[in-house]
Amino acid sequence: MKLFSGRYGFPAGTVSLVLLCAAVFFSIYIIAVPIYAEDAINDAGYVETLLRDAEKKELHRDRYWHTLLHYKEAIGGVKSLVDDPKFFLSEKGRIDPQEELRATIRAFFTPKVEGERHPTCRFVARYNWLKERLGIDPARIPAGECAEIFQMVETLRPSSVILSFPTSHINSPASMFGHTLLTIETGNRSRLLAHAVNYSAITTDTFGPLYTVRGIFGFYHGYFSILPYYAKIQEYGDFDHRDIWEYRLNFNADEMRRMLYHIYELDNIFSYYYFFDENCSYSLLFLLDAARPGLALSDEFYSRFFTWVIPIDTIRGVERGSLIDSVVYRPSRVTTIRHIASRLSAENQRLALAIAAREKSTDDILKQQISTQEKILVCDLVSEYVRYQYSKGDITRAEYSDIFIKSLRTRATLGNPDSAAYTIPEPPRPEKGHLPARLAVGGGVRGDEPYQEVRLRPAYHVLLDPDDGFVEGGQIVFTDFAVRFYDREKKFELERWDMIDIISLSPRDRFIRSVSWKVNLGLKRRLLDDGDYHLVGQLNPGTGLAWKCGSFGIFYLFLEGEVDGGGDLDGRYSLGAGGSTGFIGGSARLWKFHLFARDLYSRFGEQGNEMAFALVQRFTIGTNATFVIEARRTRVSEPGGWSPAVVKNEAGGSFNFFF
Amino acid sequence: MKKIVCVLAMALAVFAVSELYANQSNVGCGVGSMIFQGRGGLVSQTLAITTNHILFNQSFGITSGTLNCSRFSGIVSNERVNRFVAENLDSLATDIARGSGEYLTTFAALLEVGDAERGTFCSKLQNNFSRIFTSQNVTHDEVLRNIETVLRSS
Repeated sequence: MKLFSGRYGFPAGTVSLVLLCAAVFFSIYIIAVPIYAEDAINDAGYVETLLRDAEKKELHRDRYWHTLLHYKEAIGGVKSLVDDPKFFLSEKGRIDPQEELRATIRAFFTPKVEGERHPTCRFVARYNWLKERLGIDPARIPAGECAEIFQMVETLRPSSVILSFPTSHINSPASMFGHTLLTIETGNRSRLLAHAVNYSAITTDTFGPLYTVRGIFGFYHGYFSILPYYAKIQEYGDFDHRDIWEYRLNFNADEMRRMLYHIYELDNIFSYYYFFDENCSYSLLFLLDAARPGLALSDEFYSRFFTWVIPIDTIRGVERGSLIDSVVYRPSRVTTIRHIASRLSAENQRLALAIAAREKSTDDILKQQISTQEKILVCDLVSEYVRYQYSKGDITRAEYSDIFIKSLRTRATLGNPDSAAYTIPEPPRPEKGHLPARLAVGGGVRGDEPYQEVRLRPAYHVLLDPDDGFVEGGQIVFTDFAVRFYDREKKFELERWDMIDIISLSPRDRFIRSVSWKVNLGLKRRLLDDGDYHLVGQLNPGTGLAWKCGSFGIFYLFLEGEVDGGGDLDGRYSLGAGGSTGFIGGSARLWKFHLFARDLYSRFGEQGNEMAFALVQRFTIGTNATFVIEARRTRVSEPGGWSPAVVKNEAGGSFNFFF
Repeated sequence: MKKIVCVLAMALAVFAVSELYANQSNVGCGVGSMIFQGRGGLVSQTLAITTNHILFNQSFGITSGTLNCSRFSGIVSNERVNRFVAENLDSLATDIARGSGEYLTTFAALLEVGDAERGTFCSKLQNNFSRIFTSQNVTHDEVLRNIETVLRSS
């Protein structure tokens, strides 16, 4: 597996150049023979001088050396985050920067072994840097410099580097936080042809829970790979229906060259992939650090203790580092479909649907008494929509290609639209949204007991947080803790712990008929028929439908199940089912509310019925500050209603700060 | 994320090699200059090479979602055009029907169509859509040949 396997494809001119270079080096070698004939490392004097010089300059402490080797602080020293032994020339290299530096310098002076890449090639970024810092004389390298790679990078002419951010896809838990990749544009070519550098885990596991657990605990090998950017666009924009943000970075030619050298060094080198911290987004930071000495993004996002690196945070880091030059928004297919549909009347939308369903023919478009502009939009809507249906597996390939080609054929006769039709308005940028961690401080009254509450969550977004930069209707929460202090009883109580709390409200319309879902796993206080709140563990999944009511908000209906466990429950568990419905409205920016009702019946373990109504409102103070008030009424009754129901009211407010 | 990414070698073959070719002014398909300056030959040369080295033949609906390693098993001289059309056939067809778009612009750039001729190039393809995409089962190879025929006839 070779990263730059270009030597098999050099055009004639380049080949002769390479030959020329080789000839030059060879002749140097010949000239040098009398001195270095025995064994190149016999140039021991020179190597010793370099080693001493490196020591004097303390290069093993240099930040750039630590960047190239991915060293990070560890107990009693440093440790490289790279796990592949092939990446180190010294046996102790993974934990000993100085030993690795010495071994590297020595390795440069070893003779060439046929069929193997010489260390000056394999570790071209290290070589390049050490050559600069130590003034290594290339003529004294017995195997010669790696002309092949230098040449390759020259020929590639990287022109810009783009940090691409496919946003999360609301209905896919695997994409929850989004993803980042780097694309390298070359020459003045189209961005579609750029080279997408991607870091990902290699696995054949498809079983979700196993994949998740293994991903979290680092069972998978992560590798860098390169694909044409259009292949990644197909993967994210077309298949996953995820909008992509492209941040052009302001690297100059030298910096891009250094980045390519480091990518080359990481070819076929694995590190254990950790879903939360050593993930796709974190690993890309090394490439940025390698490009611009002095950058330390990989340090900024590193913690010796458990932490997580959220893709959007790395974009914020890049922005803080003043690396962003310009931003481009690339809407997904679903966004495009919605946009085109929004410019058509309901009647014309139905026409497009009927054509897609083969109830009408594309010729019917031409017969309509509508403007050419509208005919164009209908045609485009049909072709985009059948592609969407096909990618979802809703129609067969034969059905798809039939409608697709017919709609395009009609479309081709209609000329060009006014360009405004295809300018999809750019939503607020994701990095401008609120920060993922949230601290809430507040208080309220439950029943007749006043309380104060502190609530903390490290990530990421709830339905009522400010929407800008997030997918509307999406909620992802990890380990949200709420602790209360009840004034009257002078006691602290864990109010709830949402280990995972995901809600995906994916509104349906004529074209996109997606299913919404939710899942909550954690601890909560549950009102029981003794009139008290008891701590229980809960798993609460649900599935349902959501609709957008114009610009007013989202209405939803869910069927839910709930499994609870806890010492205070009859039989220590309860198994129930029910439904919920709600409306989320207001404005994304200033004020938003969530009104909902839930009805749940348990027939196993703890039996009974629980009904809850609530109104939660959020007022925006700033991008990273909100004020939330909440009112809730809960009613619990036993089955059959023999004893009177227990009813509790609760009201509270809190200031929320995002950081 | 669950995608297993193809082995580096394959992708990098494109990364490096086709780039080298593309940067050689006489290699690749200089269709643009050929058509608009009345010179002949280059297209058929390249297409001849293409047809001799066809590795796979793509039709609508296959171009997306089937990216896998087995496909990139060799390099032909205009692999880049060939591969781009094969892997983006649906998007390219859409852009040709619309007479504009990123995929069409990229295609034009790969064929080295100059900026001045781009408008003519795009409308010519758009006006001849039915001759290029002859049926729902048309393959990318046929599409390339049809495009050549269309561009030759003026």
